[in-house]
Amino acid sequence: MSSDTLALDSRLARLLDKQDCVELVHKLARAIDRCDADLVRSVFHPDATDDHGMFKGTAADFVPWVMEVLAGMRRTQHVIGNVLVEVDGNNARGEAYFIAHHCLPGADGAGDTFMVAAGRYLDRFEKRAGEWRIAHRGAVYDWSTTAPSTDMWDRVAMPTHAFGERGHADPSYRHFEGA
Amino acid sequence: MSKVHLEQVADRLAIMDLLNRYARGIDRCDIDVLRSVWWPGAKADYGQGEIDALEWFDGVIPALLGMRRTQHFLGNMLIEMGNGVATAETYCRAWHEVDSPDGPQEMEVGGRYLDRLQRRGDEWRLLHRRYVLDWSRNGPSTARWDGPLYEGLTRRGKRAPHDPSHTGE
Repeated sequence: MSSDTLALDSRLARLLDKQDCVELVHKLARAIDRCDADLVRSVFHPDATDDHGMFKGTAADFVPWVMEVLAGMRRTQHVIGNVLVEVDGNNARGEAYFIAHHCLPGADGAGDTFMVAAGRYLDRFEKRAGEWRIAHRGAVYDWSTTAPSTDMWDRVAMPTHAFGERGHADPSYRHFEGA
Repeated sequence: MSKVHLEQVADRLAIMDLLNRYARGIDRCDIDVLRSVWWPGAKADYGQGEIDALEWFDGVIPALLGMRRTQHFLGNMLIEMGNGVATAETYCRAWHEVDSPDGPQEMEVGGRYLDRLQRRGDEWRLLHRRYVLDWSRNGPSTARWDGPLYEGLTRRGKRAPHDPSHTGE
């Protein structure tokens, strides 16, 4: 193998490492939005940790905590933008910009609230036994905006439209299963 | 080894380019770009049932031109590769500014594209797209382009062929 080939191979390997790390960030967003506890667990190493500010602890404990928080919300969408990943061997660090959209039920029958929170996920990724997973997630908050919900869709009266759901009722599960 | 890697990376980048090109086609109202993302016979379901994607887009351009402006901001792309085929979920935050009797309104929609893609030769295109709605936000436009920063930023997005990306303005 020439040195050029070696150089290309290591650059390709780095590209694939970065791609795997970005995919973990996207998978975790999907897992949260679908309230899929198993999928949340699958992106973390068994001994991973999480620091969300209001939650600090193991990823294993993060799962039930975040599921309970999500249960108090009608729906969420965590949109990921810029993702910077720096790879160093089997370790990597990422900074992923997010804009998280939350629809919250109003108190005492009041209308829903639409809350947007934006910030960055500061992740540490580790490659163990050939597989990248998140070793630590930290969330940093940059801005937020909140207002009464102005969503006008009558989800019952629009049966031909596909709406996002929690859990396996969401159309994306059948989609990825190839149905 | 490197051949496999190269193909994996190239396929994924081609798919991401394609997804981005769709957003560009919509926002610039560029029918040629929009036509280039579908294979002949491709189907799409945006909520009114399954339709022929290429036929539908002929009709949708006037509707888009009737809006003041749009921006389809793509985020998360989860792509599962198969043998010459791929399945993808792409997050989108779509911004629309429209005229109304009460003045300009803004309408924002959070959703996801559920896509099936296929490679023919060296080219990836869409075979099937299903759009899922997650949330929306509606209200009077609060756009402000004044003040010390924004009044100096005068280069605005336009539809093809007048957008700065075409004119080089």
